Amino acid sequence: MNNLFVKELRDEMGWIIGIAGFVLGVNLLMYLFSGNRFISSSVSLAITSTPMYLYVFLKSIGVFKDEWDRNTIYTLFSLPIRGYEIVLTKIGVVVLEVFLYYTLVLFVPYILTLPENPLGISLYEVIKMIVFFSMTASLIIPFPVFAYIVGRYSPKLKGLVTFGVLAGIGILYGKILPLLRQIFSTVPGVTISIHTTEIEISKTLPLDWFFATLLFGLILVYISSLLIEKVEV
Amino acid sequence: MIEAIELTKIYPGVEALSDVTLEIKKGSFVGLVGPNGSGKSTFLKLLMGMLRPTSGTVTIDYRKPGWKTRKFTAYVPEIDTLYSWMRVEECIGWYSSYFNDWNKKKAEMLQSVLGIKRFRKVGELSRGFRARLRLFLALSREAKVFLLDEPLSGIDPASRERIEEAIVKSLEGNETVIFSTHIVKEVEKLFDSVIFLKEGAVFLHRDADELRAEYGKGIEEIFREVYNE
Repeated sequence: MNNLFVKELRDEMGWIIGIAGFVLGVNLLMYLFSGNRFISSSVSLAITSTPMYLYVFLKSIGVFKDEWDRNTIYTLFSLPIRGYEIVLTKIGVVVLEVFLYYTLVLFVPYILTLPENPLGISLYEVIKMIVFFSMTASLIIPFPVFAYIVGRYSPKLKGLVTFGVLAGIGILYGKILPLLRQIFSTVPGVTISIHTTEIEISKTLPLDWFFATLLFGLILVYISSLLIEKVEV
Repeated sequence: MIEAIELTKIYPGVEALSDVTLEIKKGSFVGLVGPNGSGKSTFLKLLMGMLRPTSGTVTIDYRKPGWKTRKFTAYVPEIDTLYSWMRVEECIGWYSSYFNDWNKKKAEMLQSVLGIKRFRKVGELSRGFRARLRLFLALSREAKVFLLDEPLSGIDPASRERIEEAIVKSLEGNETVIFSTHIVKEVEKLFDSVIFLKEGAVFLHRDADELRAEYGKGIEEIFREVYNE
């Protein structure tokens, strides 16, 4: 599985470098031209987060689609590997890209504004935010992955089927989310605090929906792993 | 070793394989011949578990094709399937890491026979060299079963000779080989038996020497006669 992950990582290297360059570029521009230097973090996060969700969505499909488009799926399917190895390594590399993005988005401004640290934010809070935002964005991944693999079962209508399955699991997720949230209702939220001389923000983000969505996503990943072993090339 | 019973594969609107029943014994070198579209690639993909039968069954070593049978099955696809961004050496290292039956000595011998250039990118290789590399990756294994899908198709004469030499030198005789081709002349001497596929069905499946004796001509001539070429 390690070799497969390294292969995925090498395959995605261009995108990884691209993301890093983009975020560092945005941060650098903000740092150079912003009056309030720390604003760079919030502005860059705001202007790049929505595309990031879209990127995660498209990339989750793209890492599978590319194998078919380039015919490399024949190589992958000639190896004695299980479906879960293919699915997990591909998801793993997208998660890694998400973590890289948020690490750069949040950590670079933090470093740039040291030692003044005008928002008085601690490194611990920065790490908490990186983990929280990254994991939240990563929750998207199983949805398009599942939909795309199901779509491959009907090669002529794969686009339509993928879209239909995506809509279907979206509706299903909406319906059973309240039920799943009840399972995790006792899980405490994560608190992120920012203290300055002028403002004090302490926000607790609920985690029941996070674990509920994670559980739903893991079920999708499990089914995707079984389905990819039977899909035709 | 390989058994198909009433095997049928239908793609939307096309019957690629129709009611194929055959048995291939362990250690035999089988020529799977037929023109383009006769179902050769479909049959091999079914044996790799890359396609599912519409009806009927296919087994390889008494097992349904899947990730377990790929441990002892080496497959050479007809088309370019390698990662073009990999360097040849990286590609070999990565691919070989999945197989316990990778034979380094065989790989060294094949590298010189096939003229594999280790330090170039796969994407920079010519079509002939990429075909050689695909064959190198399969033949460097000590697999029980080799499925070679049109390894000579679209290949220049120099590469064809090398490929033929590599096959002869790398096989020990106890492997089961299915060699799919529509170019029969250069390789017919390797065949123990021949399967003629016509419009997805088995037209003939006989011992190669018996066929030659019965028809009084080579497999190439029989091929032309069967397919009216």
